[in-house]
Amino acid sequence: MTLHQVYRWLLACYPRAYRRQYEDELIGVLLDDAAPGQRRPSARDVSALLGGAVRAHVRQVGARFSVDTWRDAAQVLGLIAALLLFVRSARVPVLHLSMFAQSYPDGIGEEFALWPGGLGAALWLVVAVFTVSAWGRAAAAIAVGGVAFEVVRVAEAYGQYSTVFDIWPVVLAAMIPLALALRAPRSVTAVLARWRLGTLAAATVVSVGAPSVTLLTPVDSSASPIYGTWMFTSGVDRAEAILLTAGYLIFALVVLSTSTALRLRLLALVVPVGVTLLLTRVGLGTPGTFLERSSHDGVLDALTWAQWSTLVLAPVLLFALAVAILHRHERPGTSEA
Amino acid sequence: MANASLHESTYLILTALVEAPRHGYAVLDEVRRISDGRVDLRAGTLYAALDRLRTEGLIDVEREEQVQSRLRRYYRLTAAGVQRLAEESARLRSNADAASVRLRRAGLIVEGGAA
Repeated sequence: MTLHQVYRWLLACYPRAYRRQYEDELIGVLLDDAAPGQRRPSARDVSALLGGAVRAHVRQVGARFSVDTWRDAAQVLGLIAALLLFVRSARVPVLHLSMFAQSYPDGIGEEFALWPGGLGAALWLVVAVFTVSAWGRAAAAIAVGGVAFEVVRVAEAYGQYSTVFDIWPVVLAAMIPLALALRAPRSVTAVLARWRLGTLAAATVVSVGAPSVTLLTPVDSSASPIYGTWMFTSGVDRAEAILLTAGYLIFALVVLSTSTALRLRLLALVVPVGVTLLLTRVGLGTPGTFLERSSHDGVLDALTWAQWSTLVLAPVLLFALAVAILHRHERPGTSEA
Repeated sequence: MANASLHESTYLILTALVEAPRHGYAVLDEVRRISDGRVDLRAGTLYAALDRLRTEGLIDVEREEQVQSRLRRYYRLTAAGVQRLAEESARLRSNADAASVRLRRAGLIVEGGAA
């Protein structure tokens, strides 16, 4: 292999756009700078080229994510994720309070309903309100507390039952402080418009209030509970299932009603959560694969390192893939934002 | 907000382009000459800096040539680059003067070297 070929091979580590711009010129300089008869690149040149490649990739990614549309999408994701986590955390405390109001002296009869259950709900509600109020940094700081809350909840479940069935809220929660810490070019109200914010608020109220509303309606005790993975809760009756599904559909419709550029970015941003959901609810336990989970006396064994690695790496890699596909899709020049 | 200080290699690259537009290899050579061989930039490092400086608008491409089938792009300072380099030079000079005055006042150096 000639020196020229080695340099070209090393330059393959650079982003495509960078190579288009500088490859021939850079190889010319490298060859001009080489000693007479030199056949292999010096260690310093290799190190500088590889370091330059890493910097070029980082700058490219940074440039892409600093585009206003990504920042808008991050704001919207922060808000919707906080609302969804609020919905998830607030249903039981709200039901508990509703039962008090309906003269049930013990509420739902569980001590954890308001504490610590209500704490998570309160944190996510504050994050959502601060995000709408354009206090992004404060919302991000509080969201860190919310993430800690979700981590503790999942760690407890894993410690007791070795289950990661409900790890997706941690992934969703972890994205909130990252998203809200970005400097937003405009407020989330300006991005979504008031009618979408109002619709999100309505979807939140419907989803949080579903169990409480059901409490007030005549119950058909002969009907068996409905179980649906999409409801993210245990068996519910028909009225609650309809309300919950309606609430989630309204959330989805708000996302679908945004501009194409924003919508695609929001979909890309939730890829890690979707992948985690698929892995924990469908993938983990697949018989005959490394994802198969062993158990003793009916109790699951701890996850193997390969399973943990998959759980961590797959969402990240597929998110990177989604972003790459999105940018490739937009390359011809769609400029809607 | 004040500009962050320039890294030494960036400062020398801008300095290398003051007198005339230069292509990549000539910039490498000139940086070595200006720094008396103390700063030996590699091509990978140089082009990372050139790309960043172009993005920041401190330099741009003046012309391109093909020499012995190799592409040569000549870079020149922009007005913003001249201003940035002048500001950085003033800052360095001010810092150097302050250090020298204090060292002399403390009797740690005399004219021409350490005490």
